[in-house]
Amino acid sequence: MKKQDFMVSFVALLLLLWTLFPLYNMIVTSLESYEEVWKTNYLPPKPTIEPYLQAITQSYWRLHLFWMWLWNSLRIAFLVALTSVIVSSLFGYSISNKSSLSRRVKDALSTTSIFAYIFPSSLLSIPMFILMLKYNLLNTDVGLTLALSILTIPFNSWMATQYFNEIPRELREASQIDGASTLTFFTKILLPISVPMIIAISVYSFMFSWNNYLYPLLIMSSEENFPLPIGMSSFLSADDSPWNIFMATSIIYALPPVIVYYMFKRYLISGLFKGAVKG
Amino acid sequence: MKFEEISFLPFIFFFCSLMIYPIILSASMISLHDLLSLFRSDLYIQSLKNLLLFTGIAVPIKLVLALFISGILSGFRKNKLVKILGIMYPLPWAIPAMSAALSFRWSLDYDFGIINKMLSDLGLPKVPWLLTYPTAMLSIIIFHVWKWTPLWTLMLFAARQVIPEELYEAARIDGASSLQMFRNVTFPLIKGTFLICLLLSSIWSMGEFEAIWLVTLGGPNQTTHTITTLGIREVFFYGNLDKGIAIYFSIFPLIAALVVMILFLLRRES
Repeated sequence: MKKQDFMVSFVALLLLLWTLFPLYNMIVTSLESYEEVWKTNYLPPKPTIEPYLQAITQSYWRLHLFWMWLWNSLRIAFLVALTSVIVSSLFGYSISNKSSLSRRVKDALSTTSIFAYIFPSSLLSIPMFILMLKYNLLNTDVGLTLALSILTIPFNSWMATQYFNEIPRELREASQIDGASTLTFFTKILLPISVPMIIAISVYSFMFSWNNYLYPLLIMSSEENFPLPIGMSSFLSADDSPWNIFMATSIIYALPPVIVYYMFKRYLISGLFKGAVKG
Repeated sequence: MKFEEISFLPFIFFFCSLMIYPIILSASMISLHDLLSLFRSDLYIQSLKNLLLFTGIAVPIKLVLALFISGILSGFRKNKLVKILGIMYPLPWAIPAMSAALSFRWSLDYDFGIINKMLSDLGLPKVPWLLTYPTAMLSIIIFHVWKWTPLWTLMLFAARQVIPEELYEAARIDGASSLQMFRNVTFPLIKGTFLICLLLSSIWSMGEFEAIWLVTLGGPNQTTHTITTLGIREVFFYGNLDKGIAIYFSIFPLIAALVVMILFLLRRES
């Protein structure tokens, strides 16, 4: 038994190293000065926060719009979360309700949402680009918000449906007896008790939009509209390569989704779990 | 008309106008000429090969790893390191691809990357990670596996949670080894989820964009493109919409076949 425990610890340690290695590399480099970067140290000999300061004071020329890009990322992520919550919860309400639609319509609707979920999001990118081009939505917040929303809505609709399915029917019946309309029931009773689901949907949508790279790359074309990752694109082909600043920026960019994930993990995981178990 | 009878309409509006319509719109732009000329292009054939190679290698690795990690996470909850692993393993999934890919690129740098430094400190030769075709493909696969294994671990972990503990106790009393328990208790019960994960992961891996674009940008010498990045390259760098669309639609039949398989499986499961 002792031996097995040791083996498990060893394997877990290896997996931890594998998971954390890129982070370790990021943190070490981000704490070094430009000269130290080229010596490839395992640990920063003289840790400095200079690279972080250069990023947030916009003094490094590739990051001259750092705060604007950060704000763009944040704004779009919020807009997507909001759109996704509204559309998905309305959909979930319709599907989970026993008396509303015929079984066949419901089946067709849920198959549609599953299809939209399964379809690889990158393969929709060029068709989306053509749509945005046709309707003059390229390089606008509306365009990017719509594009990212449709990518999050299918999964969120599924989460909403699963959540509403577990709410006892009696609640609905009681409110009907009291004379509440279905709209009142939805806004005044159902939504307030669905805060965990709304959090799960918002967090998932926020992380998805904040992290997405392909869609803003295609849709946003002027510098002032870039979200952070597109602003960071110029790092990819840089020859002067101050890797300490690149890594510091990468960490700053990665922090919001990581913080949000750990803050709301409980809600997110239960939403994901339900999907996976039922799936 | 009751509210709940029409509240699904916003979804339908979004789905039709932002998914079906763009696909129809772009399908109408495809010319047979563009499609056929693809198959005479070496770059296209190379990208198609890469796509199959990438999917064929990355998907089995991810799922076997996920099966393994989820087993450790649910079987040895009391172990301290397993507890820490349980907290940390979703990190790659939460971290944006851009951040992680930049870190990979930097650690794989031939002269100054930490991986080659470790190799040479161990007395091993340096590896030209991003500079030759096979190692660049390997780097892409490593990045993709790192980034996406957590998602499937989560799914399979969830599937394992509904297996009643009594089954394992009964097996233990019968003197079953852990391998036997996996084969006769765990796997039959999570087979359905596993199969769905396998298909989903195959489909999504075929659509993988960031791992290639951000780690190698198709390099060295445009050898590591897949269909997805090749299509984006045409649109983004050359403004060649027709060609980009033709490239994308050339793998739609394959994707459609996989999607239908999943929908069929899901229907049978429920």
